[in-house]
Amino acid sequence: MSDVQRATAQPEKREEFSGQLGFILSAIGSAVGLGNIWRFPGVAYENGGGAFIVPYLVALLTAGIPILFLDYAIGHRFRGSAPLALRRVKRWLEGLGWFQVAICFVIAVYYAVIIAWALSFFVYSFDLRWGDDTAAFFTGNYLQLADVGGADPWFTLDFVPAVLVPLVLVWVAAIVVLAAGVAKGLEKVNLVFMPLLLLAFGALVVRALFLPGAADGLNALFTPDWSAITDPNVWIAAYGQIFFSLSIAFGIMITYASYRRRRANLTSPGFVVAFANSGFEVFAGIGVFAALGFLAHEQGMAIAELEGISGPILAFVTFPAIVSEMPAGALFGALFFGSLVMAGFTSLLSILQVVSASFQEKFGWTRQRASVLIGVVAAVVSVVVFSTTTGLIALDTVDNWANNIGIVASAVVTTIVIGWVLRRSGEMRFHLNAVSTIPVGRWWTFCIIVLGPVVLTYMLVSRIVTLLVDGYEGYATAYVGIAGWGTVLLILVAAVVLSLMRWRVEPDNFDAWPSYGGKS
Amino acid sequence: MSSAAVALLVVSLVVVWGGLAVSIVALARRPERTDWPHGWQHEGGPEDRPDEPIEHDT
Repeated sequence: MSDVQRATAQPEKREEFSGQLGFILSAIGSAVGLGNIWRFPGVAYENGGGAFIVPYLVALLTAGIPILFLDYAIGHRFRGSAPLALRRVKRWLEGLGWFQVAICFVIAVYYAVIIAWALSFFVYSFDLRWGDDTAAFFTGNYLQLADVGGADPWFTLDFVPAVLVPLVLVWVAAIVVLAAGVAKGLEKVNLVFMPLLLLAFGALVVRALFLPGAADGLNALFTPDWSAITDPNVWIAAYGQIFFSLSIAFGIMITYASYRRRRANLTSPGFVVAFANSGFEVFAGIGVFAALGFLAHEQGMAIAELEGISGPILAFVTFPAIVSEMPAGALFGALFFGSLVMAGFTSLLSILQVVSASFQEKFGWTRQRASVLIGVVAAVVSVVVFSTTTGLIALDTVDNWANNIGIVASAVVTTIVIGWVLRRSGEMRFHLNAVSTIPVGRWWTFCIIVLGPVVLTYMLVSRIVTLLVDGYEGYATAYVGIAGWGTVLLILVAAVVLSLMRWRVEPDNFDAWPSYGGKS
Repeated sequence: MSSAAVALLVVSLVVVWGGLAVSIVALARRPERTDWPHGWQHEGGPEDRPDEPIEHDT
């Protein structure tokens, strides 16, 4: 074969991170998101306090890091976003890849909305616009929620300009960054935002530690309840926290790893990413509970009596109340909401990159075309469904199903198919060890093919049963059927349709490197 | 703060941030392998392809 023939047989050069630092910061930027700030502290507090660290660490080492490495191995070895990489593992696995892409699309359309809220509240911080009744401000003045206490209305097209305007800004920014590419867009944003996030949030945490009542808050968070260790639900909560926090099993880490050179270390940077994510989470827990201790102190209450200690209510109702009581509140409000924007935006970029990369690879779209087309479609869905007076309830419902059903199902299928059906865990372990400086041993295989599937399947089945039996948040069954189960159905249909479409770029002209001759 | 809470606060920070510190040190000491499997030596360069014996048409 001539050089020319050989050259034309090679696919177009793949985008790359500029190096290890760019990859690590981008992967941390993806993993560190809103959940680290508003989910971890509440979960730890409600599941044994200081004793939660035990199941949390076990979950990190036995599920979080092993599945993270599995994602790395798939993406890096098979050089593609989820559909392409999984197709190269086994042709019919392309559908699982598109399932993950569809989950990313769904998550992106509502995740952007929360960033838009944070952007609004960043601006409101400067004059503490939320006043004294922060709950009424958030749901009434800001979101202008329609009455969803009854059954009417469940869906409106009454747009809320205060949400819509920042939401459009978020989408424009996301499209611009994605169009700029992996090294010049994604990586550059993370290189700036990650250190800035650490500085901004660090200043907030240090300030919170010196507020009156901070010690009571930390006492509440860290006082161990050792009986929790024997409660299976606490362990499930720990695995759930680790699992959702690390951005694993829905295509992001497969995609990011595919942008590393073939000769690139995988496991050592992976440990840095995983521990940085947990480090930030614990740090956030300290800051949030020191601040909650201050609020309880100011209001003459016990921490246990406080409401809204996790989720959007923590961020948009409780934190504004804390900020209003703090000396120099405007500054710390801006730091808090600025941190939310940065943490959220870098995660949003990673979610969208999965979708963009998949369409580029399958349909031969340019990066710019994929960024604009996908960004505009996602922005329209985002605006129509979530920037209206019924946006909050839709967001809450779709989020629950996309995460607790969609992502967990994706993880269950991935581990079972790779480990049991195709028996390819040996090849993945071989790949990790061939390119990395820290080898993974048999413990990794055990976690991937035994522990992971067992814990995740239990999580999935118990959640499905609970949702079917108890419903969700008291919402109408028909609404939950459409917005919740309907979302999962839509994701499945999208996965099937996109898998059946024709590849415009030959996907199978590919040899995995290094070649593997062993057996699992 | 109670002594148990202080102890758990310290343990949590030491384990998680200690893990991060150890990971960073391990990575800094050995950022990449030196003994790569054969192939892809020129990735990223003009000859972006597997290293194979090159057959020249003459």
